[in-house]
Amino acid sequence: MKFARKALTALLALAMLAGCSSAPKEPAANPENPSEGEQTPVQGGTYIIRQATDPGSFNPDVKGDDMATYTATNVFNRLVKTTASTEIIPDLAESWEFSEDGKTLTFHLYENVKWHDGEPFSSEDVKWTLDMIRTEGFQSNSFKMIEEITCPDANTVVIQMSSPSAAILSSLGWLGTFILPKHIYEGTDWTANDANMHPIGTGPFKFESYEKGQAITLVRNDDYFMGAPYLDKLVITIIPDANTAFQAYMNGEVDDLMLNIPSNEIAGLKANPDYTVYERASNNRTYLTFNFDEEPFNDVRVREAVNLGINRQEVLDKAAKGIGAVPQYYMTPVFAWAMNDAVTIPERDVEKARQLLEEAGYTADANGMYMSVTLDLFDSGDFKDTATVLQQNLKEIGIDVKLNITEMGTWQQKVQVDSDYQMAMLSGSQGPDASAISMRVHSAGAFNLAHCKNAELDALLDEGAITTDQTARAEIYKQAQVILAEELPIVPVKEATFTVAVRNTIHGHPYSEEGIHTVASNEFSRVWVEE
Amino acid sequence: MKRYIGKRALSGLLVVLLSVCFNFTLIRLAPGDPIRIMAGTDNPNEEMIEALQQKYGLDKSIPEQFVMFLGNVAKGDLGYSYISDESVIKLIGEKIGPTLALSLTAVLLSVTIGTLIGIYAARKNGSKFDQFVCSISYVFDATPGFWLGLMMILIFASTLKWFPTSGMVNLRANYKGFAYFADVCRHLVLPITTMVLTQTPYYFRIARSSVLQVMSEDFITTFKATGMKESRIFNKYVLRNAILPTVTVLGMSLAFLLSGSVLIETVFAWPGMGRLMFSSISKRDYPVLTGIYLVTSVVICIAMILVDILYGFIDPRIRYD
Repeated sequence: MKFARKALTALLALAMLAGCSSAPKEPAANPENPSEGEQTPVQGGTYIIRQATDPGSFNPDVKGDDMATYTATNVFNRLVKTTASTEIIPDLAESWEFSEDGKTLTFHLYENVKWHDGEPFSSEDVKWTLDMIRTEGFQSNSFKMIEEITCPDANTVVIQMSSPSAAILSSLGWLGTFILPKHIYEGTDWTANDANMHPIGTGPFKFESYEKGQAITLVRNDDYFMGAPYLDKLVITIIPDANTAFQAYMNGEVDDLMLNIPSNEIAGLKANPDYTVYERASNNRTYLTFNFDEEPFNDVRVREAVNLGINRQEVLDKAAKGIGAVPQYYMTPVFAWAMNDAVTIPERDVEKARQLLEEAGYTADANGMYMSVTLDLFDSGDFKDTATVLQQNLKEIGIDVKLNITEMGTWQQKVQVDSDYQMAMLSGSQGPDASAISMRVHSAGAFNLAHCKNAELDALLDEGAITTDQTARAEIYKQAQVILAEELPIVPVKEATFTVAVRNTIHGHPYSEEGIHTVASNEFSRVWVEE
Repeated sequence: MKRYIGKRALSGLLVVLLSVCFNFTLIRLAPGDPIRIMAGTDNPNEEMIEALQQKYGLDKSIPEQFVMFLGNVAKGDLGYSYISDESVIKLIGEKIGPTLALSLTAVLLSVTIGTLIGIYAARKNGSKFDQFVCSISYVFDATPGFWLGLMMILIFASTLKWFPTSGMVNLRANYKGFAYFADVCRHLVLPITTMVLTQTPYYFRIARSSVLQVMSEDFITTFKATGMKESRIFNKYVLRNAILPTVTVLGMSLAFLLSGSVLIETVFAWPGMGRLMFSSISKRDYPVLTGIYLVTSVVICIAMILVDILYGFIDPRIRYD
């Protein structure tokens, strides 16, 4: 029981370090930042956040939908929640413990929690929701190890697992795990219940209205079990165009752009004394993957040549305008405890890359090109610019790259379903737990686009998922990185950072020092605004 | 006349059916799968994807899906969105008001302003005024709407602070009644101005050139030779002949009104049909798309029939027997 909590504490401490070290400059940039003082919070006001498109549904557990996240995080609660620095902190569960064998996880819930319709909340709601999530929810993959969920009393939930799981807490604190009201959903089709468009939760804000294409309006829940929030209203406005949104932000019509500040505006905000810009480590990275089934990338030497040929600093500077970081490890550095310093990503080496292509049996033509390949990518964020830099980089090692830029649906069909590609670029969250890498490189992984099949790697990843001792786990993932460096199913290109600007009159923001360890990454329950 | 309308309605129905059939098939033949797009690249779940594909009938062949769709349309049911599980009729219905408020106002203003200036410029053919508006019209005709929209925001919202940046209402104020109406109007000014500036040149050129063309016809010369008053010739004979092309293009514009303006709606965050259509395309929300295509093609057919009937009234040479 104690070891897991200790391990968790260690993990959290590391995560805190990672979070802090990525943002060392802001206090210096704003030495007289008035937001750090001992001020009395101001009650009231409307706080407006922007998102790009409409949400599908407000049932956050059925289908993955980023556009429902702000609403879900503020209307519902999970058992545990994840802060912007990826710490796991209590939400509905005040405390929890693992059994000695690591197969039983017991949650002790807060008392006197009420649903927004006045009904009392109990452990039965948790059991019902988790049973739905692990069978029909979009995160059901993450809860395959759960055998049974029981409720010894109204405030206790016991999860029985077939094997110990290192990832279960992270998964429960991630997305798709919001606890729904059993009294409203039981016996109905949870994909089509009326509550999906008028959610009833236990969270700090109550749902008030949704005008499609315009805004979702939430109002303060005065009965919130952790204390009523300061804001009267939390409005999520829908502005599709990023430039318009930025103008609306500067004109005071929007209070918060969260992670969607246009990258060319960040330098201006950093220089503006009225704003504080926070940069937090993210587990999202951009990477290249290869079709292992076909020439030329079935040859590891060609993959290695690409790995040696790309100039990651140039990608960061030119395509990402300096927002992000150069990858150093074969797994996301957010899990700092699992990084293997012996197998870091090599420096760019054009000569060695060309030599590898020669060894692989290719000969350069009159233009110095060994081969011509296609890179498939979809139009998203800085992907196009990144691909243009990569194209230039690889030309220098003698690989002529043709870019095939489509929209995401077309890309998925070609790359994911038909596996009709040579080299592809994508990005994606590598969390919430280190074991998430399995999905992308395990031979049975749902998103193993490369069709990588390495028995040794599979065995390590399988073991990593059920090992709960942090030191033993770190060893496993360090070994996995050795194989990842040899096999190269993924070639990391850029680490993302979460970049958020907060006006200095805004307090308690989830990305600020005040909120980074105390609220979920999209939770606005402690936010207040100076008059 | 009645027989003519009956014939047109019947052929219109056929056109609608054909276009829906094409659209239904084409969008489903395009690569991409709505469920996979929904699942994303963070943590896609194969079992979930298959279950949802079955639920929405995506595992069936396109002809099978089409037969199911036609059966439902016959019952007045356009189906449910894959993304929100809401009724397509409801989703489309919600967009009609805001779409018309923006696009219809803009079209009516553009056609009025453009035609009036066009006629005036044609009467003063070759004058300084004519030269001036002609060159201005080329400038705005060549200006992309979304860029002009952003410039309008930068000038009138960000710098001068005269108008709100985007959206349909002030989200901090809780306006009701007339104050709400006035607030919506304030939010309409910039998008409508942008649309009017880019659409007016079109109506201007059509009015100007058709007036000039009619004025150069032989019968006008004959009238002039008889000594008929210039203003009488113009008002009674030139205008009536010159207005026909304007009616034709106005009919076309009105027909496509309901599909909205994707770029302007996107730049100004206006909750119109264009944005619904655009997001449905990128998410492959087939039922919503098919619904929008169906509604749009019905409206186009009706508008075309109305324009034809209107011709009969304006132009006595056209008679439908």
